Amino acid sequence: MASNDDSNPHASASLEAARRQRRIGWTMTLILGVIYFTYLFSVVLAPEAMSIPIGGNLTPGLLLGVGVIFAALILATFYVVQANRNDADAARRS
Amino acid sequence: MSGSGAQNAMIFFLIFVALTLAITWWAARRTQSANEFFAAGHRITTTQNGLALAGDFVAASAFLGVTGIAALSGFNAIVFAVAMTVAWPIMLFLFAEPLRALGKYTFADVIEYRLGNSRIKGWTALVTIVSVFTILTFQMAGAGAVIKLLFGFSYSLSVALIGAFMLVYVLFGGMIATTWVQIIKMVLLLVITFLLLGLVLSNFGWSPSAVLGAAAERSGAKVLGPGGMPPLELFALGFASTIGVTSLPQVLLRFYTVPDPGVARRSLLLASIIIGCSVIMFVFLGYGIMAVLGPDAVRAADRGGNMAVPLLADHYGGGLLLGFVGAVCFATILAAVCGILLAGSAALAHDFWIGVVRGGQANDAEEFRVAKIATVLLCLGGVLLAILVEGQNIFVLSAISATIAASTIFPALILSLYWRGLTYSGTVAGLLVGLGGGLVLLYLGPLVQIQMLGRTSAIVNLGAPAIITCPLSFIVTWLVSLMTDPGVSPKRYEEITERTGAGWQS
Repeated sequence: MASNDDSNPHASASLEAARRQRRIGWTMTLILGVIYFTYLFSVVLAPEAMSIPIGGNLTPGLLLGVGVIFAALILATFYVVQANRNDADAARRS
Repeated sequence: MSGSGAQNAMIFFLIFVALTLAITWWAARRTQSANEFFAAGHRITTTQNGLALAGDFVAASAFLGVTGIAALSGFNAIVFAVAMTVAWPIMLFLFAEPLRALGKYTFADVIEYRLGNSRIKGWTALVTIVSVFTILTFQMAGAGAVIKLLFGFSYSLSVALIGAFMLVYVLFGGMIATTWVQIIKMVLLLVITFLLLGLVLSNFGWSPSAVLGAAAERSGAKVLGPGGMPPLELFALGFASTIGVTSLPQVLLRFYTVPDPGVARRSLLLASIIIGCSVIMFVFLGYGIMAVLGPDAVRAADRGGNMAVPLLADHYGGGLLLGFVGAVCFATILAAVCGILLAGSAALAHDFWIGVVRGGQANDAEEFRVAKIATVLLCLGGVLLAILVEGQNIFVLSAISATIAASTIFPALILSLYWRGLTYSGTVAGLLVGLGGGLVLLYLGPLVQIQMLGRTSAIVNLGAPAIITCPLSFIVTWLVSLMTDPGVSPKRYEEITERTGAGWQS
């Protein structure tokens, strides 16, 4: 376990890694939140625009819904790849 | 259900029971301590935990509910699917690693550590028990209805049967058996979903667009776009589902079954991917059911659309497929209630008894013994309550659970992990206002007043009160924290920041 002592170089390296990780977590949450609420507001406020048929029987409402789910999965994957790399970096430096 | 369907269901059901009992027997020999009982000895792998987490979520409400909503009204299902799926990456970004890094068995461990005051666990145990007990009753009542339908037993006998199985799995097999039951069920559920999707698509020349077209032809093009629900209500429901799902105690419990924060993170990614792909398939399958059977046939079988999938199975495969689907539905509910029971037991034994009554000073053997007693008590209570609520609209209970989680556990966890100024009094005030406010608004709202008590109008016209009580809990926690003494809280905040995430190993 990392110690609290800031003069310990290992501790400050791990502290920096931990802070970076938390920052990335909140950034991802914010991006996903904006995407999600934009979708929710579009569905609630512009139902007509979300019902226009595009390409066969698809509508923007359905397509964007699936899109939000995939966007969430892509953000999650990006976060985990980033966090794994962050872990490996911190392990190498300590 | 037809006679051959009931017979086939019975055969599949017996195979499932035999398999899971064998697993429980195997798991029982590995469950000799509280650590194994609550956290499977922290030895669950990424893939196993990913499947089990997904299984916890893709329970009856997501599988039967989302397909049912899609089969009845179409578009709203995709909004619920999005709302519930988005919760999982958020859990990954904000909760998974710090919770695993800092706790032992429950989310309350982290809050206690942050505040340096074990009494907080009494309050978290209270909100956990309210949330867990309502969802346990809701699931058991649902299971009772399904078994009654499948095998023709009486409702009380069906509920008692579920209770007996649940008790055996959890009491003897603990988290190890609960995890494996959940994994088996999740795999079965994916198999049946692929099978039914294939059957629907083959009916329409393997063209997804043709399926949507046929659904629109039956019920009008409106099913492909938003509408049919007041905008504010849809928004409030979406918000409540997302925030509620991020903080369900039975889901948070699974973070502790893995060896370290890295595995927690990766298993949550796997769970998110399985869940995201599953809900898209469920929505599409629902449109398929609308196209093949039409919403009227679905509504005739069950007003809430919960019988949509079994109806489709009956349509395509007759008794054999129906039997398989029936057994999978039963397995789904059984697996879900086991996890919920375990979460309640952890709150009573680990948080309340060991944490508050014994001040954290008790050995593993005592914790294990208390956990088993708590399990039996909760199971008996759940069975009795489920028998009493027969005939009530069970979705009321599910709404209570999500509202409580969103208005109590979510604010407490976010502020414990990410706000320096939190104090003990602030946390208690936020938990109580969230719990009380949520229950009062639910009671005055349309779910209880109209659906449960049969009145013509509600006193407060808000179906999903979390949109008010969740922010309210944040504000109250913040205000009270500003006025009270933080104690060790700021120092612990620094430690949490440091010990969270990358580079930290237990």
